[in-house]
Amino acid sequence: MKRQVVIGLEIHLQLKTRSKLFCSCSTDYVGAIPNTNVCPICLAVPGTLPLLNELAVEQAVKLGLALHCNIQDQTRFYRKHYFYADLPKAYQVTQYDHPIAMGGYLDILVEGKEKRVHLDHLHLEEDAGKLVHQTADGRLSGASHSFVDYNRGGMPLSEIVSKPEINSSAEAVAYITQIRQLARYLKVSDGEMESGSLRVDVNVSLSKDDGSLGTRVEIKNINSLKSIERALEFEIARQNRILDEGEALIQETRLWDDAVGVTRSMRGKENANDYRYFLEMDLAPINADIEYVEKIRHTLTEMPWDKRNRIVEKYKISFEESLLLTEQKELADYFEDCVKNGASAARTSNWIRTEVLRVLRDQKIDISNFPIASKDLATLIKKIDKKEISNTLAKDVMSAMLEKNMGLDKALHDCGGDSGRVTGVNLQLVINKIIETEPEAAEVVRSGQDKKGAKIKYLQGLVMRETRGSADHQEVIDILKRTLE
Amino acid sequence: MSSVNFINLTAKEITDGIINKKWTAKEILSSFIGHIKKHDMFLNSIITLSEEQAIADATRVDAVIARGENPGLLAGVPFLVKDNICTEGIKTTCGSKMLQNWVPLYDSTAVKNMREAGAVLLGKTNMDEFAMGDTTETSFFGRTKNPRNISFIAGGSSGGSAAAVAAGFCPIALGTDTGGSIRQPSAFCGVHGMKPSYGQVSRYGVVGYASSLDQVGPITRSIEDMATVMDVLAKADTNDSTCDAFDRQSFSLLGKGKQELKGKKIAILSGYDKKLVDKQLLEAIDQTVKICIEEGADVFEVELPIALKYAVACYNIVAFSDASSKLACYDGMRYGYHEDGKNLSEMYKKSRSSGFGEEVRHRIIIGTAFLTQGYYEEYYIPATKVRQLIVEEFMNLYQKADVLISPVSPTLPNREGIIEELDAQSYLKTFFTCIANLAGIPALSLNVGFTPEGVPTNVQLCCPRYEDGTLLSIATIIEKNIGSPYVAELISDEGVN
Amino acid sequence: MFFLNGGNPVNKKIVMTKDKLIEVFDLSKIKLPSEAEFQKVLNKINELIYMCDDMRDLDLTKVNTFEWEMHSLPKRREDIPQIWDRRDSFLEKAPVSEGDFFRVPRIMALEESSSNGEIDE
Repeated sequence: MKRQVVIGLEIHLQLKTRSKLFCSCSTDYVGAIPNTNVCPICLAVPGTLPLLNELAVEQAVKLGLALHCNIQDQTRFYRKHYFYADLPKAYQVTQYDHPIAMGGYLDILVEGKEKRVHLDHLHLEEDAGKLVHQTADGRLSGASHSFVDYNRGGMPLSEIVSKPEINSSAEAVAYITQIRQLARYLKVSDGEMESGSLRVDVNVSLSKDDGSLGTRVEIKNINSLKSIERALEFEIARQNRILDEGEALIQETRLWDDAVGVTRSMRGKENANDYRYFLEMDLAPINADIEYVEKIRHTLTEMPWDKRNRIVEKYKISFEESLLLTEQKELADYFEDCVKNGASAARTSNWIRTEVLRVLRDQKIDISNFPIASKDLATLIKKIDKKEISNTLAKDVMSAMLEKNMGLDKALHDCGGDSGRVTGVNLQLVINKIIETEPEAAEVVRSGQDKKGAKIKYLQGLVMRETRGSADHQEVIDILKRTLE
Repeated sequence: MSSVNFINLTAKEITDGIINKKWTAKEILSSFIGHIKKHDMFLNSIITLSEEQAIADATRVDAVIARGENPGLLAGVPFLVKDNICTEGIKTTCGSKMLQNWVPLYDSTAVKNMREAGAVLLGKTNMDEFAMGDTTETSFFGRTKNPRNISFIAGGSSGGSAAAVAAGFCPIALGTDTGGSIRQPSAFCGVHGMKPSYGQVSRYGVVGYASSLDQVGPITRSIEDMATVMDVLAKADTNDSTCDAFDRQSFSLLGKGKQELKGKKIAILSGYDKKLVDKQLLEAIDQTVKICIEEGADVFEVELPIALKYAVACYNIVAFSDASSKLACYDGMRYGYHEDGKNLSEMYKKSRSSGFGEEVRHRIIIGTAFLTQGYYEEYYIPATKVRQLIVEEFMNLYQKADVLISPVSPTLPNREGIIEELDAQSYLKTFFTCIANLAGIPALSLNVGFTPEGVPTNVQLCCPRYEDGTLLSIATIIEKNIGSPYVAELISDEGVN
Repeated sequence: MFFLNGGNPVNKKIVMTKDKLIEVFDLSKIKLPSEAEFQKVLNKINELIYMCDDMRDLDLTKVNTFEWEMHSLPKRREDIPQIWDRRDSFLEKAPVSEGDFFRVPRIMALEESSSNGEIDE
């Protein structure tokens, strides 16, 4: 019998501030020597007091606004108590009853269809330190000890809690992907699962025969999108099997073991932990009044979903193309810049999706490090548009620019691309321009006094220079004569 | 070398003498250190005497004077600090085995402000372990005796600081007050002690035990000195989000103007069973009230029924719960007492159980209990709501009164080693002082004299929140009529009394 | 006295039991003491609970939980990273430091979960 899968996701985003949530230690901890981004506050030295980071609040509000939440003023922090080696105060400072953003929703795209997932809330909290059981060089390894690094302790996290409205692993992946994209668009987080700046806890249950919610199981330690799919597949099967056998499920937290491909129950008294939440009295309420929120709202730029729709509308390209182009804000900006500079939208879209993305992938760089400026790519594409050069030639030019670090003009010349014609209407325009700048010479020709054709030759020279030699000599003379009759 | 006995001078007198070049900071210091070395072995009020640091401080002050620069409001005044207030490079033990060798790598704001005002740090005083207690007998470093009479208890938890000031080891000392820990030992040792309004003084560097109740405050022998210390301490601090950022007016300047009690409304706390209070203390209140009347004040009795009935339970739950949280960081990993264990949990349990004394362990357990599921909803939340009612009750009181006068403690200090019993007198012991912490109002334990047997009697004055200046003005007037407490006579070579 | 939630009594005083107190000792990471001391703590808690009985007389439904009022809230901290110059000294003096780390008894992955449910093996 098919039970409805009910999934709720809790996503922790590491915010992109330069200092930690409650102290001024650097947040640049990846690859840092252990316990160097620490200070008396995040080491819980007696007598120290937390000091809230303004930028973290701003970023949380930004995220909340983008997720259509209600931003609350005067929210509070609470202490969540438990003892563990990575938690120096033996309590985590988080929000509880009064989170900074309530409600909200996220529209996700699953297999071409849009679905709205409502959110419960978004809140701020601090991260814990890291435990290692063996160092890379094995020097500190021993069966008897574990080692603690507090560099990550105190990093600012924004936790986004969805309502249990997700019903498949495909939807879960779509939701996470959309949050990740949003976080990057807003520049509030790197949103990388692999490096830990985006972490997901999955709550999954199977609804009962009467439609009511089944027993909820929380799964932690899932570190990639692929693992999300595998973990859900395993857990749903596990739950179905147990229910089919007529047994009861335990409400618990399970850990995903990626190597083996199973979720495991946590032994010990973990699930009986009483967190004893109470108000954090070392911190004042968070001021986030209407004025403050509106100021932040005005700094918000176009949302990824709005951008992808607008690009379809404006440039008349397909939705799939737009999805790819707008995956990263910088890429979409690059695309629009090209078109703004005169390149055709369709061709630019093709070129970016095929040529540019390939280079980015191969060289493992970001569009912001792509060596060809949008203006130059636009010029190149415009030439193809005007049939001045062929597609193949253009690709050669691009290769030359990338491999030999050449400027556009030199690459064009080297590849023979500047033998492209300026002709017809375009040539007429150039000629008109030259005539305007050389009224005396033009008058001589017009009045029929250019017996030896010196002035015509002079004007022709200017036109050839202007078109960089890519006009036909005779055509120039013909048009000049015709224009100056 | 001056023939003045520096021990008896107030801070103001010391500073005036230094500025007028009658004596130097080093001279002053040497005199106090000599006095301490002679007598503290009998009192055990000081855990760490930081002589080198003090000499460096005094030398610096003398150099500033020599250059003709402003040496600060407390120039050359030696001071002691309760051992739960962080001092960089100087052991800060909180009276506990857990931190018996802990040396902070940073200064608390309170100490920093004092030293910037030219005061000379002498060292750290004894206290009840982690400020939990009212006798200074739970300290890992032994009990502190009362300089008025060593058979008396010194009170706590700032017993060391109060005893030191009474003994003449320094004219001013700093303590902390969570439920009466400055005011009660000040009363028992016969000196003045003040708990400022909550949010008045920075808590940065204070190893407190309850975030919403702790305040640092001065212990002195004169109200003028107290006002000066308040000027030095009461400042905004970017390191403490709960320290109010408003601009404070000068407290010592208030004392310079014309002080009047004429028309002021003095409320006398009643409603409690007066039979539970030692009669000399009630007499002290009567005497104080008489002075107020003579000075033109209106006096009337007032009751605080909600506070009387619920404050003690409310305080115990709120304070102990906060304590259980604040003391959770002591796990022997990054600092403090450490014992190995075969797993993480065992390591924590062994370190904490051996590092903390009994009273501290008990309060942690009690506090944790009231935060667990069920108890939190049933008792903790109602306690925080009752606290709000108490705050409102005080606000109503201060609509019709300027100051509240009450006993500090129901008993005189002449009782040996008091054990905590939950009887009616013990109830009042907590009640009189904890109400000021719950409501965040400024409260001053004012010494108004001694019994014929030499037992100190203090009264408590409380004003509305942030009216610390008014409180000090009123205390100034009363003190003018009664006089200041004298330094205790200490027997040294001939044996103890 | 009436019952809600499948048998959980409301309006019945929740006293501290021996079993629950054992849990509380564990939550606080403090060793279970002697029988006599255990009883002492149990009594203290129940005495305090007894003292709280009176609070039931009050109607607290419209009362807010206590929070401090301040004249002016301090400005929030600017996002400027700073280095602590005493890190080396601190690490050196820590009871369980080893090199750049703090050392604790080996944590078996599934017995005591990390804050993030990670297995850092």
